[in-house]
Amino acid sequence: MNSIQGELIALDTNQFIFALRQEPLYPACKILLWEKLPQLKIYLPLQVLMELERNLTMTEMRSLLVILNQAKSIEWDYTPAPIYLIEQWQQRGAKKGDAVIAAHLEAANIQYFISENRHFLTELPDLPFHVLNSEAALKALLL
Amino acid sequence: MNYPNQSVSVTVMLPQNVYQQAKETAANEQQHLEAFLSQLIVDGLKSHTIGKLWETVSEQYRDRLSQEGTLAQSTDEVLQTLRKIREQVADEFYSG
Repeated sequence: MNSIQGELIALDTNQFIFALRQEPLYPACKILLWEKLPQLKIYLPLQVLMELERNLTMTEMRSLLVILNQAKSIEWDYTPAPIYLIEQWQQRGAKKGDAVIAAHLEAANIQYFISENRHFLTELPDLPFHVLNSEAALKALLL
Repeated sequence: MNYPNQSVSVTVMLPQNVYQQAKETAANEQQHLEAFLSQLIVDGLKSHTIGKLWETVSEQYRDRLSQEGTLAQSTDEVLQTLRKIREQVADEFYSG
């Protein structure tokens, strides 16, 4: 496993939600976002932003954005994912939502996606990025 | 008038073993001890501030979920809900 220190990484919506919930089964989500944020270079695609907006109130969303601005760097991508890439990923077996995420990351050339969603690994072959859970991401940060 | 980037000199007391550890770490990283300690304080203060911000928003969020009766959802239920929202957003935004 390579270090993700200095790499632009994408965080799945579940990372933010589990950090906010302080989910005991996924403590690494909290550590990653509460403690390691100043070390992270984050890429946030439009799909994840819209999902966060569905889960959070305006006040909660505003607070989260203030916090995320404390990351080492943050890249907000408000561009819709390319349709041709979404269709390609759907043809390869991805559900539409996962296809959108894969298309975003491929278009932005992101190498690491941090998620507790195991479907990414099982349903999609030959992804152009690595999928790590939060525990593996923490280890990769320390390498 | 205060200038935000102006440096001030402070004196702090450290336990001998902590001082020794800081000295060795700074030397290993080829940094001056003073610059190393200064950066540690800057980083530590930033982490502390971020931690407080997270505490506040997390408490608000958990209170709301508690009132809505969803705080006790299992992680599988949460993941399932998130997958459903992902599909809804994708269907609405990339329709046609």
